[in-house]
Amino acid sequence: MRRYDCLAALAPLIGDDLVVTNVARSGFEWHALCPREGNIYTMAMGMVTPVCLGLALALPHRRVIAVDGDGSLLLNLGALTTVANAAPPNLIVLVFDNRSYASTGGLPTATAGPTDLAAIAQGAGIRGACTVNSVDAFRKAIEGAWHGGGPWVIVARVTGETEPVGPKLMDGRENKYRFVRYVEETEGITILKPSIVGRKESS
Amino acid sequence: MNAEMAALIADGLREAGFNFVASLPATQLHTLQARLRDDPAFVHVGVSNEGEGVGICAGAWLGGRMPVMVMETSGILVATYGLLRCHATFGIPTLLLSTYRGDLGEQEWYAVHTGAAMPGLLQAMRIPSKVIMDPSELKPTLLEARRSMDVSLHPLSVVLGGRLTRGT
Repeated sequence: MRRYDCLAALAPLIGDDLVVTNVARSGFEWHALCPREGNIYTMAMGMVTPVCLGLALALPHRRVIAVDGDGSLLLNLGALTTVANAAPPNLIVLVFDNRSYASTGGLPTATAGPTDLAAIAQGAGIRGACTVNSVDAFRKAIEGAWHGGGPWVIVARVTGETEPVGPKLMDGRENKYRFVRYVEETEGITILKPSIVGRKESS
Repeated sequence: MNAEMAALIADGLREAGFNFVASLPATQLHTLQARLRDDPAFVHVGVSNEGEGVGICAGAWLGGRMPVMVMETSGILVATYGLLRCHATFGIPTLLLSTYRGDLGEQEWYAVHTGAAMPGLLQAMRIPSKVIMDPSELKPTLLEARRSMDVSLHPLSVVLGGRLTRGT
């Protein structure tokens, strides 16, 4: 099972959901499949799930999807305990587990050995955490998570094979501005306040 | 920190427009952290690592909240990677409200070196910082911090001097 094929199964479901992807090719693949303003690409390793937790708590009526990886999640593994305790029902954490640091030379992560991320997530208190090994199982797990009841952690055991798509040509700041403008527009709120000029509030 | 100081800071944060708190319990901050946890004006998340905490704050800001990470001095050291690779890289503000362990008058040997490193570390990350020594400075400083972050889109540090945080 390739990550790209799982993401291709996810893309048609996306509406006004907010998606944050891991570094390197997971972001490229998601951009190729589902380019939209509600995506943040190339979030720092270890920060994908925490950022999505903050988003899910800030916007509890919006579905928030983390496109994380095994190496990234392992860098900040304690975040699973915080996800479990904060328990936002609108958060779906997808962990594409290729058992390697694929973008930095392919050396093995801990999941190439005995480490089981779904079991760790369950132990952290995320009862619905599961592992899937096929695109059909991934699709079913997503459908089960789609209408709340989370937080969900879906660990997709994928091969290291990637789709030959190029990177999006946009840095993090432009990505941030576009994402925030999208949130402002869809939520009817103001986040960016670059000047006092023209603002109604005096604070 | 005594209850009166905790109330002053909580009021200052609320009045300045902060409405999202991540915190990791600390010796000199637990009174404030419990108060923020119980105050309905704030969404509060207890974290197990300040690096994770600033990431959560970044997400909260992207979702329209104004976040503050409340932590011990050493938490800034732990959060360094996230502050640079997430906040600085994308341009995301978060208030870093911390103690100043190692400040003049510190009486614990283990706290000396984190405090000594903190000002230089913040400077290296180009994070503006203000040390509060007088309670009368608190509310105006928190409002100024929020205003500055609105336009800088970068973290800002407010450090509570030792005189403000010692004592229960």
